[in-house]
Formats: sequence, structure tokens, C-alpha cells
Amino acid sequence: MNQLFDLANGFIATSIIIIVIGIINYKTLVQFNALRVLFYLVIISVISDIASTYMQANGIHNIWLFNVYNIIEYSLFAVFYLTLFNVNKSWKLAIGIFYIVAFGIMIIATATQSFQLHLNSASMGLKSIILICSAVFYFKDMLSKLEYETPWENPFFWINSGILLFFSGGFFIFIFSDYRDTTRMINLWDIHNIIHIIYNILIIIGFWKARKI
Amino acid sequence: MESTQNLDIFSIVAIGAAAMTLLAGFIIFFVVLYQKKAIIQRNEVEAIKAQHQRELLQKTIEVEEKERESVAKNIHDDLGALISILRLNNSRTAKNIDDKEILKKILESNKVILNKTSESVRSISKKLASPTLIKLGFVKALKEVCTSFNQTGEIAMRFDDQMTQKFKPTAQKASQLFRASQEIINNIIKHAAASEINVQLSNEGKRTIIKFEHDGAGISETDVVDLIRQDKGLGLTSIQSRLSIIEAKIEYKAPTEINPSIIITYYNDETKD
Repeated sequence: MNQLFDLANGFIATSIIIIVIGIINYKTLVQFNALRVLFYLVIISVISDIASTYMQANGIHNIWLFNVYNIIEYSLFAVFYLTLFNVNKSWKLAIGIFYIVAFGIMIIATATQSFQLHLNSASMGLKSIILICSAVFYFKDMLSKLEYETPWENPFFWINSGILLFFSGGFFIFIFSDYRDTTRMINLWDIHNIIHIIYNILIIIGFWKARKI
Repeated sequence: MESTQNLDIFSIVAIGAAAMTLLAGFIIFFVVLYQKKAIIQRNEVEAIKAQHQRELLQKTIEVEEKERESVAKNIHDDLGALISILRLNNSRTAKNIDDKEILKKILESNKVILNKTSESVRSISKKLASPTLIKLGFVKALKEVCTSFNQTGEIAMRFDDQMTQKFKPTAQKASQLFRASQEIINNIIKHAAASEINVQLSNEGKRTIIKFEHDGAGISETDVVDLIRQDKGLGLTSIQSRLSIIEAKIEYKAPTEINPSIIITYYNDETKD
């Protein structure tokens, strides 16, 4: 339990580092809509994580907060990728419609389940699949355009890698998230927290690299 | 029982998470590797392209130099000679200022020389830039070339316009296309010993196709490459360089069963489909 608490603090701490770097690089972030959206998402994520930790510590039900955050996170990632994809208008429209339809399904799935008592594993799973596909699609787009001499120079390579690792690694954990109250599953949430820290480190590198563009 | 079920779920999730993380890692690794290879390949292609462009530029300069020499020769031989006669007539006028008969002859001679000079100037300027091309455009200018060759009676030349859309390239592009077409016709007459040439103009979507079909000796892509390599195909290089400037494509076809042909594909609005 202590370990979980430490890891949770670890990813909150790394998220705060992202916010600090975001504030330092705010002038650069403003130039890239995708980075700005991601920055706002990190702020919301930190607020949500602190709030849920506080609620847990005080014995208040916090599952509803995870469910709400899940939908907000998906929406902001959808905006992030829509801004990031350098595709023609018809492709953008098709992807936009796809994101909206998935959003609708997630809302229905969350609303029809016990919103306050259970983590909505279906919508979390759907979100993961969509974001994994989006991350792979971005890599395909990146390889076809070859705007940078090396991938390391591209801040979005780091961020996208973080997203791909986080949602791929967390996919099974999200699907079985309903079992989190058993002792074993708490260990699996430790894995999630470790992946979250790796994800945050990659976002930090991405935000840092964005300064040089 | 519950503990076994939990253990199973734990194993599934742990293995699944590990497998998915590995898969994501593999994708990232592949992206890094592929980008490195793609960049190396792109740089190599760009270097080859740059080298090719340098060679084309060099050949273009050579062709332009030859054209300048030819114009200079024309000016020197035609205009220079006529102006020399005018100069001589001028001195004759000074010497025979009182002899009306001689002055009359000199005046008539000057009139003839001035007409010839004017004709010569017109001819040189036509060589430099086709007035039909400037005034009426590429299609009419090419048709005029075909008609002029046909009128000589030495060769049967047919112009077949199958265009379903108006073809209006910019003046610069039309000029390059026209010069390349002229060079192709000259080459067919000069080297292929053809007695019949069919020039066909058609369009396919955003592409305009100019086909030169003839009954002479054909030339294949390999022949063209060999000739250019041996430095024997200045005309061919000139065609290639003119067409590369306007991003048009040229194909040399020399099949045994049908007549050989040379095909230019021009992409309208610089859009390749």
C-alpha cells in the first residue's frame, strides 16, 4: 500500500515537473496547439490525482472522479491528435467524426454502468485502443513526411511514444480495472503507476525539446 | 477458488501489460530504425537528383551556348554581309554624287538589301522565339511546325488534336514544351530517316500527352541513356533538360511490331496524378 502511495506520488511529482516546464516554455507551447492542449490535460490530470488521493485518504468515494477524468482525458487527447495530424480536410473530418462517435459510445457506456461505484472498464479500453491507433497513425504520418533528420529532435516523437507506451501497457489494466479492490490488482496498479511515470518522463523530454523548435 | 481466479486475472493482466508494452517498444524501435534508414535513403536520392540537376544545367548551358553561336553566325553571315553591301553603296554614293544614273541604281540596290535585311531580322527573331507560339499558343505553334514540314513535300506530317480540354500552359512552360517538340521532330527527321510522322495531342485527366509516332528507326530508353553517356546526344539532353524544368516526362518507345514513338507527358497545374 505504501509502495502504491509512493508511486502515485511519483507520477504526481513528475506531472508537476511537466507543468513547471510548461510554464517555463509557455511561449513555445502557445505556438503549438497540440502542446497547449496536452499542457492543459496535464494540469487537469494533476488536479484530479491530488483530489482523488485526498478523497481516498478521507474515505470519500472517488471512483466517479476517475470516470469523469477518463472522458475529459479522451476528449483532450482527441483534440491533441486532431491538431497534430497533418492530413487533408476530408481525412480530418473522418477522424473527427470517428472520435466523436467513440466519445458518444464512452458517454453511453459510462452512464449506463454504476457511475459512482465502478470504473468504466469498457470506455477505458475503448479509449486505449483509439489512442494506440492514433499514436501509430502519427508515427506513420511522421515517417512519410520525415520533417526531422532524427526522431529525437521531434518533440512529438517523445510525447507520442509516451502515449503509445502508456496506453499499450495500461490496456489490460484498464480493461480489468474493476478488479482493483483485490490485493493482487493493487499490485497491477503499481505497474500502471510505473508506466505513468515513464509516460510523464517522455512528456517532459517532449516539452523540453519543443523549446528548440 | 477466489484466490486462483484472482491469480489467473493477475497473470493475464501482467502478461498482457508486459506484452503490450513490449509491442509498443518494438513499434517505437521500428520507427527510430525506419526513420534513420529513410533519411539516409532520402539524402542519397537528393544527392543523385542534385548531381543530375547539375549535369542537366551544364548541358543546358552548352545547348544555350550552341544556340547563341548559331544566332551569332546567322547575324554575321546574313546581316553582316547585307550591312557591308550597304556600307559599300554608301561610299559609292559619295563618289558618284553627281551621277544620277548610278545613284538611281544604288537606291534600287539599297531597297533590295533593306528588304533582305528586314527578312533576315524576321527570320532570326523567329528562330529565337516563335511568333505563333507567343500569339496563338502551343497547340497552334506545333500545328504550324507540322504544316511547314508537310509543305516541303519531303516528309508526310500529320497533326492530330484530340484534346478535350483547353491546354494553356504558362508562356515559359509552353516555350520549353515547344522547343522540346521541335527538337524531337528535328531528331526524327535527321536521325530516324522517317518518311511519315504523326503528332498526336491528347489529355488524360490532368495530364497532357504529346505523342510523336513515325515510321523511321526507333530509339529506346536504353539507347538514349547510352548516347547521353557517350556524350553523343546533346539534342537528347537538351530535350530532357527542357522537360525537366517544366516537370514533364519523356518516354522513348521502339517496339518491333509497331511504329516507334516518343511520348511527352506534361502534368497540368504541376499536379501529378
